Amino acid sequence: MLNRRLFALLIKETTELLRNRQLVIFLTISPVISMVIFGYVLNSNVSHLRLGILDQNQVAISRELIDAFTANQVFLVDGYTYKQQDLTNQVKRGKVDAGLIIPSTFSQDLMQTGTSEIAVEIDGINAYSSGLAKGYIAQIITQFNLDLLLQNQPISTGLEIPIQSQITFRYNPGTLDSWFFVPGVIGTIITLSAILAAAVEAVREKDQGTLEQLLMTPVASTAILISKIVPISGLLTVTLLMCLVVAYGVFQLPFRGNLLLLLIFSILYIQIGVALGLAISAFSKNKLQTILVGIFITIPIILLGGAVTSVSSMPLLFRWIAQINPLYHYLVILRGILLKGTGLEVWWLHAIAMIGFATLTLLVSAHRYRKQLS
Amino acid sequence: MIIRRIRNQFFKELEQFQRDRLGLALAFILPVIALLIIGLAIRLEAKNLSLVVRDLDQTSLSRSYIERLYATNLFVPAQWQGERFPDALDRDQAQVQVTIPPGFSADVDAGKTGNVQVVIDGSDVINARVIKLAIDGTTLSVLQERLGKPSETLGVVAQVRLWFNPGRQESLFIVPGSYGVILAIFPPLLIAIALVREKEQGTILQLYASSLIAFELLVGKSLAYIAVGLGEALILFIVGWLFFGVGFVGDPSPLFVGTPVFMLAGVQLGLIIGIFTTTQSAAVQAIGTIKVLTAFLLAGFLFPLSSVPFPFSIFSYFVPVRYYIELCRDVFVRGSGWFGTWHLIVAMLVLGIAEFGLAWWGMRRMQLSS
Repeated sequence: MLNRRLFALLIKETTELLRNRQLVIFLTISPVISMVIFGYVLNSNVSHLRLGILDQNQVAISRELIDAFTANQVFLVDGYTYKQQDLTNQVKRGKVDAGLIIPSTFSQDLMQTGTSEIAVEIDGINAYSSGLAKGYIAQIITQFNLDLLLQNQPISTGLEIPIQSQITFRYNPGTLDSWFFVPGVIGTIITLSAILAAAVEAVREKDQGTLEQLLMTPVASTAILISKIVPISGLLTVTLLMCLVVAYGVFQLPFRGNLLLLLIFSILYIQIGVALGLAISAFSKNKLQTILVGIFITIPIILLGGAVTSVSSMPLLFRWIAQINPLYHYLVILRGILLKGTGLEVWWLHAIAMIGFATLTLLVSAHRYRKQLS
Repeated sequence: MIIRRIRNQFFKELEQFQRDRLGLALAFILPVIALLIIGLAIRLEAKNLSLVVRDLDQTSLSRSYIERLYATNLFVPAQWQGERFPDALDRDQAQVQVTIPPGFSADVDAGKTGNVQVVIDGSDVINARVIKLAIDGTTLSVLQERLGKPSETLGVVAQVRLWFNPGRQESLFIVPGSYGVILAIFPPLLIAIALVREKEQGTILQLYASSLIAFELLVGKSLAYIAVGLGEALILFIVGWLFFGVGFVGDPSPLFVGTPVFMLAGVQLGLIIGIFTTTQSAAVQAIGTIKVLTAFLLAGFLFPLSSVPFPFSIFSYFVPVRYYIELCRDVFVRGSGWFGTWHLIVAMLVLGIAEFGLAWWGMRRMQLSS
C-alpha cells in the first residue's frame, strides 16, 4: 500500500520535473558544455607574458640573454624601446607585463669583473602571475650563468653537468592543467545544480500552495520527501555520468581507481547537495530568500573546497573550515580515484566524513520538512 | 510621458524589492560575507608544501642541498613514518619527495653526474609547477656554488622590481577582483528573479495589457536594479577599504563611471535570462551556471587570461566582468587614471548596449509566448 502510493508520487514528481524542459536542459546539457569550455580554459600556468626590451648594449651576448628569456614561451617579445622612461611607463600602464633592461656596460662588466647587472621590471597587478614570473626569471638567469660558466670551463673537467635533478610528476606526467581542473569543475557543477535545483523546486510547491493538497492525501511525509529527492537525484546522476564521459573522452583523464566506488560516492555527494537544497528551502520563507541563500552558500562551498585552488595554501583557519565542507572530501575522493588510483584504504576518513554529511543533511532536511508539513 | 512611466516603473520595482525585509537584508549582507570569505581564504601563493627527504648519501654536499631546499621557505617537512616510499604521495601526506641516492657526492667528485631524484604529486598542478621551479632553482644554485667560487656573485645578476604590489600582498590582488565577481552575480540574479516572478504570478499580463511599451518596462526595471547594485558596490568598497585596507590609488573617477556601466551590462544579462526562461528554477540554474562559472573562471579573477588557448580565449572577450575586474585592479592598485582605463569602460558599454538590444528584441511584442 505504502509502496504503491510512493510509486505514484514518484511518477508525479518525475513527470513534473521532466515537464520543465528548460530546467532539464540547464541541468544536463549546459553542465556538459561548460565542462568542455572550462576544461580547456582553466590554465594555471603563466605563459605568453608580453616582454618589453631595452637593449642598450646590442652585442651578441645581450641578444643571447634575450633569447634565453623567450626560449620557453613564458615571455614573448612585445617590442623594443630605446628609453628607460618609455619602458617603465609601458610596465606601469600595463602595456607590457614585464620589461627587461640591459645596460650599455653589460658585456664589458661581464668580461672585466665577471659580474654584471640587468634590471627587470614586472607589472605586479596580478600577484599570482608576477610571482611565477619572478620564479621563472630567477631560473632563466641561473641557467644562463651556468651556461656561461660551462663555456668557460677548461676542457679537462669534461662536459658532464655535476648535479642534476630528475623530476617526475607522479599521477600527471604531462602536468596537464585539465587533469586537475576537470574534477574540480565536475564537483562545482554538481554542487551548483544539486543545491539550487532542489531548493527552488522544493520551495515552488510552497509558493504555489500545492503543498496543502499533498498534505490532504494519505501519504506519509517520508514518502513525500523521498518523492522529492529521488527524481532530481536521478537526473543529476545522468548529468554526472555525461560529465564523466566527457572527462574520459575529451580530456583523457586516466580513471585509475575503482569505478564502482566513484559512482557510489558521486551519488552520495549528489544526495548531500539535494538534501542541503531541501534544508535551505525549508528554512526560508519565500523563493527570493531561498535563491539568495542557495547561491550564497554555494560560493564558499566551491571556493573553499579546493575546486580551483589548493586547500593546502589556505590560512590554517580555512584549512580547518574545509574539513566541514562536503565538496572538499568529495574532491579528495574524486581526484584520488580518477588520477591517483587510490582506494578506500587511503581515503577512508574522507569517505566516513561524506557518509556522515549525507546522514546529517538528510536527517536535518527530513526533520524540517516534516515539521513544515504538520 | 516616457520619462514619467519609466520613473513609475522604477519606483514600483524598488518598492516591491524593499517590502521583503529579509530578502532586502540578504541582498546587502550576503555580498559582504562573500567578500570577507574570498578575501580571507583564497590564496594562490604556494606555502607549507609538505616534503619528504630521503638522504641516502649523508655527506656535506647532500646536507647542503637539503638545507638549500628548506631555505626556499616553501617546504615544511612532512610527518611521514611509513616504510614504502611512494606511499607518502598516495596518502596525501606529502606533495613532493626528494631522494639523494648513495654515492651522490662521490659521483660529483669523480666528475660524473650526481642525480637527485624528485617525485612531485602532479595531481595538484598549481603547486606542482611551483615545486618544480623551486627544485630546479635549488639544484642550479648548488651547482653554481660548486662550479664558481662560493660566496661571490658570478655572472649576470637580475635586479627584479615588482611594480604596484612589491610584497605580493594577496589581498591587493584578490579583493579588487572579488568586487567584480560578486557584483556580477547578485544584481543580475535579483532582476532575473523579479522578472520571472511577474511571469509566474501572472502580473506580467497586466503590464502587457497596459499602455507601457517594452522599452519603458526594460529601462525602468534595469534602472531599479542598477540602483540596488550600486548600493551593493558602495558597501563592498567600504568594507574592502576598512577591512582589507584596499583604498583608491590615484584618480577614482573611472570607477565611478565604470561601475554603473558594468551594472548596466550585468543587469541586462539578468533581464535576458528572465525573458527567455519561464520558471524561476530554470532562471536560477541559468544564472548559476552562466554567471557564477564565468565570473569565477573566465574573467581572469584567479589565473591570467593570457595563457588561455586561442579559440577559447574569444569567449572571455564577451564577459563584461573581465573588463570590470581589470578596471577595479587599476583603480585600487595601479592608479593609471582615465588614460589606462577608458577602453575598458567602452567595451563594457558596447556589451551592455548589445545586451539591452537583445533584451528589447526578446520583449518587444509584450505578448505571451504560445
